Amino acid sequence: MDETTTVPTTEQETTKAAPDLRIMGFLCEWSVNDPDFFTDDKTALREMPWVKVIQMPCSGMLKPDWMTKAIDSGYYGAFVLGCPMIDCHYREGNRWILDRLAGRRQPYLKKGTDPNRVRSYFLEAVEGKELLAALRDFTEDLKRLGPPPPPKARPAKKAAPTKAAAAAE
Amino acid sequence: MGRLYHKILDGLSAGWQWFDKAFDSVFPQRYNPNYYLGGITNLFLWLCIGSGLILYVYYVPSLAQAWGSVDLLSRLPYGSVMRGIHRYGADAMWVALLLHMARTWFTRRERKFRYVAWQSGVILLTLTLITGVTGYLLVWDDRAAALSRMTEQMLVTVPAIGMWLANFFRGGETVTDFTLTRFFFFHVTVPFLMLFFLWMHYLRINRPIVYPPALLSIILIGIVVFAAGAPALAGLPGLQFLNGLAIESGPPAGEVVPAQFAVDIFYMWGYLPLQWGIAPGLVVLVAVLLLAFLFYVPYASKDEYRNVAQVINENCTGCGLCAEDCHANAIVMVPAMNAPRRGQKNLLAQVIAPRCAECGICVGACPFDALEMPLLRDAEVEDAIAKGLKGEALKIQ
Repeated sequence: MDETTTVPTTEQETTKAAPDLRIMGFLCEWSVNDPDFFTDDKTALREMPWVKVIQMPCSGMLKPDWMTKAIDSGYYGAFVLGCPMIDCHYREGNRWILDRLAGRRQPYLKKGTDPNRVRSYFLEAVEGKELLAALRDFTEDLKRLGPPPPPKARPAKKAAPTKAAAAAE
Repeated sequence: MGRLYHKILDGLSAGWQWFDKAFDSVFPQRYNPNYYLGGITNLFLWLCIGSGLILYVYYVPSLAQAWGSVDLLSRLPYGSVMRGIHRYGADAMWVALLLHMARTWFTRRERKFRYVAWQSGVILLTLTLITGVTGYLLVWDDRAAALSRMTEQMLVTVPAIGMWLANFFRGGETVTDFTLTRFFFFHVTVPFLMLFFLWMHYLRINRPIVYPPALLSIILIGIVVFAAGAPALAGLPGLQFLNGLAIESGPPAGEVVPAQFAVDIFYMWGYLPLQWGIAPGLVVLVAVLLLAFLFYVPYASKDEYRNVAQVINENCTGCGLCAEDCHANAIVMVPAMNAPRRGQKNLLAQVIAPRCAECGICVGACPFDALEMPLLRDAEVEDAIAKGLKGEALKIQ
């Protein structure tokens, strides 16, 4: 990794020719939650300021649509952080979001969302180092992928789930 | 005071997470026994009920024959193994129960809507203790006689109803054949009460995990069966130490009740202070205070319900996905007042506030944006996504 890529730059310095890499993270309050880990206003990671975060009570609160929205609006990628599998503080939230991102549970991740730009991590609150290491990998992968393509037109609203779809659940 | 309480629990929580991680490095994560402590407790309960049914066939609850029937049972083929399973299963259940309680508390899963599970759990703990102690009384060796004498001493110190309690426990004013019938009654019926409170324990839990995975169950039962059968291997060279696992009764209870006896730490720790000479009344008082404190634990954090999920009725199509995903049974589908629209059920989601975990899982479950958290509305999340785009970034060359 050469030095220039690791030094974050402010918005004023960036140009269209050199697009900015940002990652959106949806964090569970019960997983990594040490205040020192975040910037003072809790909108980004202190050590990786290009990783923007929002804390939620549970990873299960995440709507897959929010991930699509983040990638469509210019983030390189999005990730969700939850408690370790089976050990969700609210019992099942992390399993639901994992199933949703994998297309096994409604509501699904929107079609056309690049699965390479979506990650999920399930860690204990004390595993901050592991999270940083995982996000470093994610950043490297996203650098290789390049900026996200402009969003294609999608139908505004999903159709109501039919009885057959509910039965398939 | 409150801050100190939270600080202590934060420390314990972090400590327990390292404990979880240590297990994760040995077990595949799916089989980490730390995640199934409640289920393991239940597994051992049923192991004890199963082995107890077989012991039940041979046991004679009378002063003259109790000790002899247990002795006969131990000399039957596999009789001592079955006794060992019953005994070590109960010990294992007690350990699992305490770990389950500690983990629930330290990882802050005892708060708010979980008071139902916590308080029924405290009752289950008490009932487990009663069942365990009465189990030792049934053998009616000299230790059992001493235990029952000490229990009487404790019971009579209860104000107003002390004498009545002691007589109820003894099955009369003196020790007679009815006494052992009474102990037998306690030992067999209290587990039935436990089944009732187990129902209450699971009441607010959608899809409770009541058993560990099959492989883990087999391993755990295997450990107990091994401990029960191990004394049979003590004859082999180098394995004499396994004799320590043999279950030995004392001599049959006689006229003289011993003041000291070997204390089995799992269920008899409450009798230790009595052996040290502490007044029985004080022991009862401490026990009552401890129980009262355990009942109070869910309220100790002084949590308020401020973030109960709200249903936006106009958006709700009655699909029921939120009620399906809710882990606390806090969402019910009620008949909707409006006429059904095409492709929709005539139902409406309703949040029962005191059951709500305030976790937002229903928000993630709803494809129609019909649920919102008052403290973290959808608009706020979308704002955060938009705002983040203006912040610091990693420039790519």
